[in-house]
Amino acid sequence: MAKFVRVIDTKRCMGCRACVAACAVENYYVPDAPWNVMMEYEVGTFPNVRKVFTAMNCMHCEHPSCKAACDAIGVKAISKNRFGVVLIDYDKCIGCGYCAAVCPYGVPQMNTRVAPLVPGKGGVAYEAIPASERHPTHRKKVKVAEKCTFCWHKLERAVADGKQDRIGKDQAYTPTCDLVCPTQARVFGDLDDPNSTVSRVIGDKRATQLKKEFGTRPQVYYVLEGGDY
Amino acid sequence: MKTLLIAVALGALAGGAFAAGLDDTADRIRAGTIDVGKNLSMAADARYHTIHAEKVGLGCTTCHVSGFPADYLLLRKDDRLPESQPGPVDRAVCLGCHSQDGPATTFYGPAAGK
Repeated sequence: MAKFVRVIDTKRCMGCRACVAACAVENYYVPDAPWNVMMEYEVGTFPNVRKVFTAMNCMHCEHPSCKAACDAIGVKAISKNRFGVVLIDYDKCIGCGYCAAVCPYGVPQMNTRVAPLVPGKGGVAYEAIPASERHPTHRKKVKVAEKCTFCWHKLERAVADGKQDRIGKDQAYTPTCDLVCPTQARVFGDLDDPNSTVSRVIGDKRATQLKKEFGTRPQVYYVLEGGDY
Repeated sequence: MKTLLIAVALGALAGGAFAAGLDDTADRIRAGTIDVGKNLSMAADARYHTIHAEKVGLGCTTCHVSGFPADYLLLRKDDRLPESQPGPVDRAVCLGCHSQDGPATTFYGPAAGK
């Protein structure tokens, strides 16, 4: 069984936000619910300072706290599938916000309005695609939680096409944010394959998970200054 | 010295009683014998805040902070909150009760959701 993970190398990331823009188009962002956000902050003491860029999206945790909270209140709108992808069922979600409240990474976003992403532009071409013709993860609804799906619509297609081995390699089967990075700071693939690029990068660069103290075991790894901690 | 020892002993007893009280409160909330309402929302008068603020007795500033350190990685932490919001919430506070072996429902760690 494959376990899909992402590695983000913060030492290579230059904060260009190509991944954010690509995700916005691929996943039909609405104004209040971005799935991928670039965090930036400064480290060091003047004059030896530099900026750190960290792209944040869903960590697809092995022990997702969002799912635990959703299950605890009996809503059960969040699932984790056999490939490790955590998904929200918009038809079951009641918009209570519990998932957003418990996530250590603040990932789930409450969609408060379905509106064009760019104000005053009336919507761009892809926004005109009717919900019925979109993948279920792109059928926007008001008052539901949304988040990154690891581009499940692409991974699902790879599985259906029998091309699971091409995930992380072919454009059609790889999350869009990982495709567009100009510095190759993002890698996506199967951690269960010891020869995959993600396995090698995690090992060679000592990539780590964020906020390990929460015990959620994220499936997104980060290469940080100083290595693992 | 004797006074100090008595104070420490009393503190330990009070801490233990508080923890036992939390266990009992959490059990009774889960059993439904404490009424916390059925409105599942983050609104101040809904179930979430009824449990934490009213029944458990946490003050606003136990969870809400005035701001995060620069390197605190929380998606959209820099968003401006509405005027009525007391501030963002540091999730580290949740760990105390919602991790494995804590009194509240487990949300963090391998036992989450079990």
